[in-house]
Amino acid sequence: MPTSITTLASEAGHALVSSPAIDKFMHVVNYVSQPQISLPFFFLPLFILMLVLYKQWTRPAVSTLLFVLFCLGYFGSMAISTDYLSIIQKPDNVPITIMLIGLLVCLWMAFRQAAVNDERIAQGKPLIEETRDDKVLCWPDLVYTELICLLLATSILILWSYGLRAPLESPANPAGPPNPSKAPWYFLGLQEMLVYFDPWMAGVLLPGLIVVGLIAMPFIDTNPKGNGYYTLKQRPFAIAVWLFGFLILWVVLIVFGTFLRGPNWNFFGPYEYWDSHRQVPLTNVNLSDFFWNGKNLLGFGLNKPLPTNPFLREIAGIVFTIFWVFILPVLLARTVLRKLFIEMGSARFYTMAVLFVFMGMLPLKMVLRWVFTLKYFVYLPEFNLNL
Amino acid sequence: MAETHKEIVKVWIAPGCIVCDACETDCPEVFEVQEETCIIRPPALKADFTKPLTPSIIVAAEGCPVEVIKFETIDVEGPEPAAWKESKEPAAAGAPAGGGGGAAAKKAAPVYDGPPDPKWAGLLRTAATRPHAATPNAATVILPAKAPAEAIATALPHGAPPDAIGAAMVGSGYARPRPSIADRIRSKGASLAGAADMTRREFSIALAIGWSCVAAFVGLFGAAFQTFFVPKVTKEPPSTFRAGKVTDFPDVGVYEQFKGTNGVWIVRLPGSQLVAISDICTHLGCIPNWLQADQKFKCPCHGSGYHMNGVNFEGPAPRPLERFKVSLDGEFLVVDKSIKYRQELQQWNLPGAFIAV
Repeated sequence: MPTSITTLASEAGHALVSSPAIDKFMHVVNYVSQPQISLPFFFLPLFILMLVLYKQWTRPAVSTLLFVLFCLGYFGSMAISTDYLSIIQKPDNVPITIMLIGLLVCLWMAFRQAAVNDERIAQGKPLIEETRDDKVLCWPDLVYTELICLLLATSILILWSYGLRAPLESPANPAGPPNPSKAPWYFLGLQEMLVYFDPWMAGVLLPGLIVVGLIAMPFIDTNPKGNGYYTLKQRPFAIAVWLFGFLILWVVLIVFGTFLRGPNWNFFGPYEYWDSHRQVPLTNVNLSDFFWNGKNLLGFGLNKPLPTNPFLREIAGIVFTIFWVFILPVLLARTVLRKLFIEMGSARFYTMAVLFVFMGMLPLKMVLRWVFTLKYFVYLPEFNLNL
Repeated sequence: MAETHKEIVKVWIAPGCIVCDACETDCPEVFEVQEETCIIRPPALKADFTKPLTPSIIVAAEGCPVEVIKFETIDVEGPEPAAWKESKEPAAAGAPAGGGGGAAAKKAAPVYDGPPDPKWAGLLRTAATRPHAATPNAATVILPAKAPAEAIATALPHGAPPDAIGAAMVGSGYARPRPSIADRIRSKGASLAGAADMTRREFSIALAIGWSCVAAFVGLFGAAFQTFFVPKVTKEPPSTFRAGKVTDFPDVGVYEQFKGTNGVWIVRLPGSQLVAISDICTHLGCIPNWLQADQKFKCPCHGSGYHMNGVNFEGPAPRPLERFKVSLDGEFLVVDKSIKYRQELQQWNLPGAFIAV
C-alpha cells in the first residue's frame, strides 16, 4: 500500500493515540493476544462458533458486517499504533494480509453454499450444484477466462513489484544474525511449532506426517458424501478436523509467527514496541523433573534424585508416549469413535487415528508448555532424542 | 490391333496394413512383413524386377484383406506368358462355390467353406482383439484364396477396425498370426542360452554372478557418490587456532572477539575456569547472541536461552552449548574445534574442556 496514505492515516490517528481509552484498549489487546490466552479463549471458541452457527454467520448481511468489522480492526489499527503500522506495512508481510482476506472470502463461499445445501437437503429440494448448469465451452469461454486471469495476475505482480521494494538486507554476518530470524512467511507455522518441539519432531516428523496425511486422505476417507457439493451437516467430523488443522494449527500460527514474534523470538502484542532487551522468563522443565523431583504446580512427585539410567529417568515420558501413540487410538476405537471404527474398518481407522493423535500432540504440548512450562515429555539428549 | 497384356512397373503399400503375412506368402520376392507394417523389398522397387512377378503381385493385392497393396501397370505388346496362367490357378482354387477345385490347397490346410467359423464369429463381437492375442496357437497355412476375405467383408460391419478384420482372418484360418514380440524374444533367448538345458547348479551360478555384478555396481556407485557429500573446498579457518594470551581474558565474562571469525566464545567462568563455547544453538543450528544486560545467550530463531556457562534454561534447546578443547601453548590459549565436550555426556569435567586460571 502506498506509504503516503498510511502515514497520513497514522498522523490523523495520533490525536486518538493520546486518548487514555485507546491506550487502555491497546493494552488489553496486547495482553490477551499472547498465545496462551488468545488460542484457547479466542481462536478456539471462534472456530467452534464458526462451525456451529454456520447458517447464521454466512447470511450475506451478517457476513458483510463481520467482514467490515474485521477490516476496521485490521486496517483501522494502523491509525492508532505506529508499531502495528510498521508490522503491517513491511513488504514481507503483505502476503499475509492478502492470504487472510482471501481465506475469509473462501471460507465464506464454502460455508455459505454448505448452509444453503444443508437446508435444501432438509427440505428435500435438489442441491445448488444440481440446479446449476456449470458446463461451459473450452473455446472460447475457458480460454478467454484463462487469458484474462493471466493478464490480471501479471499486471498485479508488476504493480506489486513496482510499488513495494524487495526487502534486501545487509550481507550475511555470522557474528550478527538478524534478530528475530524468520523463515519465509509460509513456513512460520513450522517455525512456531519448533518452539514447542525438538527439531527432528517439529522439523521432520510432523511436517512429514502432514504430507503423508494429505496423501493418505483419499484412501482413509472413502465416504462419498460431500463429493461434488458443499455440505457440513453430512461431514461434521471430517470438516472440523481438517479446518482445525488448517486454520488453528497452520494459519493462526503463521499469523503469530509473522506479526507477534519479535526480537529473541519473544512474544509481543500487536500494538507493542519490539524491544530487543525485554526480559521474558521462559524457564522450562522436563517431564522427568516433574516426575522425580516434584517441581510442579500441583506438588506431587517422588522427591527422589534423577536416576542415572536415562531410560529409567524418562520412564514417565516413555509410558506417556506409548499411551498417546499406541493405546489412545485403541481406546478411541472402543469408546467415543466406535461408530467410526465400525464404518471404516481397522486398517483405515488406525491409520487415521495415529495421524490424529500426532496432530493432537501439538495443541497438547502447547497447553502443557503454557500451564506447566513443560519442555519435553521424553528427554534423551544422550541419544539426540527428545519428544 | 496387336494383343497386349499388363505388366506391373511399380508397387507400393498404402497405410493400414494389418501385418497379416498374406502378401509375403503370395509373393515373398516383393513383400516383406515386418513388426509394424509390410514393406516392399528394395530390389522390387525396380520395374524390371516386378514385371515378371506380375501375376503373384496381383494375387497378393487381391488377397490383401485390407486392400492396401497398390500397383501401377503398363501395357506391353504380345500375349501373356503361358506360365502366368498356371500361377494364377491357386487364386481360383479357394472359391467357396467350387470347393472341389481347391483339392491341392486343401492338402496343405483346411479351406474356408460354409458359414463363418463360430470361433472367429465370437472374436468379431469383441472387435478389438489382436490377432496373435486371440489365437496364440493358430498355425494355419495362409491360403491364397479370395473367398474368405469376401466372406469376412460381408460378415463384418461396414468400416470395422483393422484389428477386427485381422481377428476374423486368423479365426477363419485365412491368416497365420505372427507370434508376439515377447514370444519371439523368449524363443530367441531360449535357443541362444539353452535355458531349457540348464541345470540347477548352472542356474544358481549364473544367478550369483549376475547379482554380484549388480551389488558391485551399486557398491561402487555408492562409494563414488558419497564423496559428493564432502566439500572439495572449504573456507573454514583451521580447526585449531590461537585465541590470544590468557591475560586477554582477565575478568569473569564472555569475550566475543572470536565469534565472527571462528565461531567461538571465550568465557571466563566464576570458578576461575577459561572455556571455549561453540556459538551453534543446539536446537536448530542458529547463532545466538550474547545479551550482556541479561547475562544470557539468546537465540533469535526460536528463543532458546543459555546461561553464561552454556547451560540451556529456556526455550526449546534440548541440551547445553558444546565446548571446544582448550590448551595452553606457553602463555597463549589454543582452541581445538575438532574436539568437543558435551555436558549431557558428562564431558565438561574432562581435562581439555577447560583451563584453570
